[in-house]
Amino acid sequence: MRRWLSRRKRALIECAPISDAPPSDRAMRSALESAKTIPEAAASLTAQQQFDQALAQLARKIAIPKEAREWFVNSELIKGPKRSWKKTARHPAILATALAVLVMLGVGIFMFLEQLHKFPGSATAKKLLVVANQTRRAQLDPLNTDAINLGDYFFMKFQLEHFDIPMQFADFRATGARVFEDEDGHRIAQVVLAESGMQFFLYAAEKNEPPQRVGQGDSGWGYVDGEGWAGAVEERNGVCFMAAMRGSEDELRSYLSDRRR
Amino acid sequence: MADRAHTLSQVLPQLYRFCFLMTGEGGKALEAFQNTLREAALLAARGILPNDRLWCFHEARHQCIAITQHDVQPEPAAMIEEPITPDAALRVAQLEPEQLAAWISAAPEPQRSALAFFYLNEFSHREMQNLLDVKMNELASLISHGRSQFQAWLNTVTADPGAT
Repeated sequence: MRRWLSRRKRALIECAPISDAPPSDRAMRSALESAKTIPEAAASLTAQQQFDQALAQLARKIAIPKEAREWFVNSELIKGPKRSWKKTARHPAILATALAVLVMLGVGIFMFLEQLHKFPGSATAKKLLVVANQTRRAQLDPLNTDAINLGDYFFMKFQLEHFDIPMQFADFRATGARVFEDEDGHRIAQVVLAESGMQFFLYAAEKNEPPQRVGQGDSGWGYVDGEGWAGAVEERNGVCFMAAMRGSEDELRSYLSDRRR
Repeated sequence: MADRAHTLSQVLPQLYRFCFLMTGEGGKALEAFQNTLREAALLAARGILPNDRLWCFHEARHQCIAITQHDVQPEPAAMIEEPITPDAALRVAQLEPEQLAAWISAAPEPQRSALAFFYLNEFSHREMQNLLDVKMNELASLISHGRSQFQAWLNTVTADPGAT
């Protein structure tokens, strides 16, 4: 009759607890509940439990001799060592938990720091550093003009409004420029300068972002780095300007502060 | 399942009963019981007694097996098995604890230990698996066959409660 139950449940029912109290083990509880839904299995289980209870009751009647009872008095003295906090801390489960918490904390701190560096347009700026690293001069239209004239150049040739170079970079000599579309179809202006290892990028700020200063502190610059390049981004009139320089973020910061002076 | 005892003093009565079921004799049970507690005291003095109530039952089992190893051992033979009858509880009521212990102690290992642990009504099936180092199916088989064999023996040694 127990063939209605799975082999695992049949095995569990053979070892079913003797008392009627619900077992703490989930698998055992499930097996007992399953057995109780089948009349034949339920009857068999009841007979088994009555049999086991009778035998357990008989076992309880085993008298404890005086010689054994004498041990009960001093048994409190037989104790295992109390587990110290150091030993508890070295338990594999505690160690694993602590390690997991540390990793999660590390990831959390990393993500928080990453978030601190983020600003509107930072994702695009990061991608443009890759472009800066891969661009060859042959890909750009040759130019030979001061950077201050580029705003008019982009407007006249590509109808890009406000794609102006900030005044602090007005005296840079532009030797090449191009306008291309990124994977989202946004137009991006790229300028190569006579000064080696320096490029400018101009692109529209994300429209759903409110106009704001992208940088931290008073500088107004937001910084990104990658591919051996660093970029400083500033937003003005809905257009992001990025000065990209080969090197580290620190080098770019000091370069920009020197230029401001 | 009976309340879980945690300190040694709380498990001692059950520990003695276990030894009695395993050996079937008061003298041998006492010897196994005392040897177990001496071992516990020795380990406690060295500061290496495990804080685990299963430890003393594990140790007691080994003591019982060691004490009875030179006794007459049961021959490996198929024992008669009969299904549990509705009057089994009434038949069991006619028995003395010593008869139960004699029958269990005569069973071959590991069935003897499995039945002794099971009828102490002290352990969960997982704890019994741990103590006996057997899989779930093996434990179930040991208890199931033991139950049927005990019923067959019960039918021969007790009077039919329905007979007038």
